[in-house]
Amino acid sequence: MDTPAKNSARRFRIGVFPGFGVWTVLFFVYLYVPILILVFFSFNGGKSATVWSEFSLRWYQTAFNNADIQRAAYNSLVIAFVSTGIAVVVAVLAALVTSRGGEFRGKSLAYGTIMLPLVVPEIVTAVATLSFFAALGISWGAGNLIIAHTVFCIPFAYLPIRARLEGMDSSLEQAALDLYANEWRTFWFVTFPLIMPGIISGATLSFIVSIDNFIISLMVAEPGVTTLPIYIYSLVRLGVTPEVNAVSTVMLMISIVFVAISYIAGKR
Amino acid sequence: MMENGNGVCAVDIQAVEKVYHSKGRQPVQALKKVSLSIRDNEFFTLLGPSGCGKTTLLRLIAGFEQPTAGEILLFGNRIEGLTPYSRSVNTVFQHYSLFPHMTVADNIGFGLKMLKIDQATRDKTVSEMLSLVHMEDFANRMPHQLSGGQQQRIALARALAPHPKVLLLDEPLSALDLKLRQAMRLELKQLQEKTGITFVFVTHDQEEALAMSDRIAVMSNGEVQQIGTAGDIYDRPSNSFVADFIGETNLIDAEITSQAGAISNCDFPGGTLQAETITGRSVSDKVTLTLRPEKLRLSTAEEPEQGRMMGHVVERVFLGTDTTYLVQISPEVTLQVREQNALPGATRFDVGAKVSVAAADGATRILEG
Ligand SMILES: Nc1ncnc2c1ncn2[C@@H]1O[C@H](COP(=O)(O)OP(=O)(O)OP(=O)(O)O)[C@@H](O)[C@H]1O
Ligand SMILES: [Mg+2]
Repeated sequence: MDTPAKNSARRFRIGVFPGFGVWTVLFFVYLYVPILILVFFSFNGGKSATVWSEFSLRWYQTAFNNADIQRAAYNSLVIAFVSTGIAVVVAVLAALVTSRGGEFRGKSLAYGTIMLPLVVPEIVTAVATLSFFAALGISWGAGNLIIAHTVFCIPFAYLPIRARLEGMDSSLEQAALDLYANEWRTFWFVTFPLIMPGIISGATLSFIVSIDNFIISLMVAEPGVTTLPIYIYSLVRLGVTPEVNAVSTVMLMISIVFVAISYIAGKR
Repeated sequence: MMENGNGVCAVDIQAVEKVYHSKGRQPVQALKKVSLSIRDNEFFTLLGPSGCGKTTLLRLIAGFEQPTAGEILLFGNRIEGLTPYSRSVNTVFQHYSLFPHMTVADNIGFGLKMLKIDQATRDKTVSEMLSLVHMEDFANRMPHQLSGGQQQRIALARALAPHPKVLLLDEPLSALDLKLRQAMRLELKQLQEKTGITFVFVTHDQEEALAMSDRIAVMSNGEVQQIGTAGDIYDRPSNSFVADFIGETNLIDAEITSQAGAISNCDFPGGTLQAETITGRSVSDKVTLTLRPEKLRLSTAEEPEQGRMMGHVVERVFLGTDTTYLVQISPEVTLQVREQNALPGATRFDVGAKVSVAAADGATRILEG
């Protein structure tokens, strides 16, 4: 790049620290090789998830034709969509109050409460939610899962929306108010379009955490309401088959697509 | 109070106070009993150093803040408690605050759209506004594709489009470079005359204020120090803050030694000057004199006479059209003198040269404050 720097050489640069590259490569191998193997064997024609025979899409076919998988996927999608929808609405309102509502009593408490699901151990939340539902006698099928998922989706939706709102000059909203837009129209014509990337980013994040969630879903799910991760887990207990690999690969792809959306939206 | 003679009063600020309370900090008194009347069709400027409360006063008029005490009238009507969107007042924000997701045309049309003006009228007004600010070709650009000066014009057009009764401008030129700023001064003044809208213009740049305003309110520390035309404020500053803040001046501590009717003789180490007598100041009172550097002349004349002081040059600063000299006339008093370089027979005095300083008649003023 810049020749003077190159010529002056021997400057300490973390990027060229001896041995650094090797560690980096090892780290990525450690992280991604298992996933690559999983994806690779999902295309295996044979019955083994460890011994390669030939390329085939038969396990994808099997998986897609499996009625149980279909039902579990359907449940997962419905729960993720509904939880994300509710979480985003709550997150937008919460973000508006915490970054535009001025100073009010209990502001840091409110902030802490929103973020709580991120720090409470998931198993604790799972057990607490389960006994909460049991105590109140709530048994609404997928409804239980939607409630549970909404709670931990909120912080994921809230963070990017709030970041966007904090980064947005509030004088834009004042300009709108000054130009005869009432509060609602100011939100609709100015705030909302400008925080849209944050909303998209927050929605995709909460969609992913909902789709991926296992521990809370396992505890809270009522009989007959199986989500995809729970179903995969039950399959794995009978042994890892290429079918599991195929389903997992599909989930991986969904996650990648959503993370990409979130990333692109965040960069705008 | 209502202004008479000069037509109705556009904005009437009556003993307005503003205290900001913030958690865990001392309350800040941003405005202390400010009273002023802005006339209709006037180019009125609020001038003062940073932090003196200019923006606060604008935000009170616009409705973004509520006064702690006092009242604000808009064309004789109380506007207390009215939201910003129910006041016929528009603001040009300091950093323009154009909506980044809308085109220039949509930005300008925003106010009209919110007022539910139909599309055809809106389009017509938008193109009128674009030509008013000489930006006809930019209707479909996005704000980030404009230069600072262009954004400034669009912000102006956007605020003018709904034809408010009062336009508030918060240091709208401060982000522009010197050349553009000077050009925009003239344009703003012409625009105000053309539209007949009352402009309330905020600046901390005294040159800007003097160049454009019909009247200026000089503020400091949340208080109005003086209200008047540029000439009033420059030639008859009411106190040492105003004298010092507007243009350059020599402030001299002196004592009145004798009074002869309208003339007071004021003594100070190194000389005696005559100034117009002001009420409340009589013989043997200590006073502060103000003397503008450009109203002093240097010469080599020897004999001291009335209004002439002897001294020597301690510093010389060349400023292009002018040269500023610092002349020490006594250990306590050093005067700043400004000589025009283009004046016929202008001589240059060197540092250390013995000179005499003469004050023009009526140049010396006694400050009230
Ligand atoms: N929201 C606020 N909370 C607390 N104090 C404030 C607030 N806004 C302004 N102040 C204080 O009020 C005083 C006046 O501020 P203001 O913004 O009106 O000054 P200004 O004259 O516009 O200054 P500048 O030329 O720097 O813009 C300052 O001391 C400022 O710190
Ligand atoms: Mg200000």
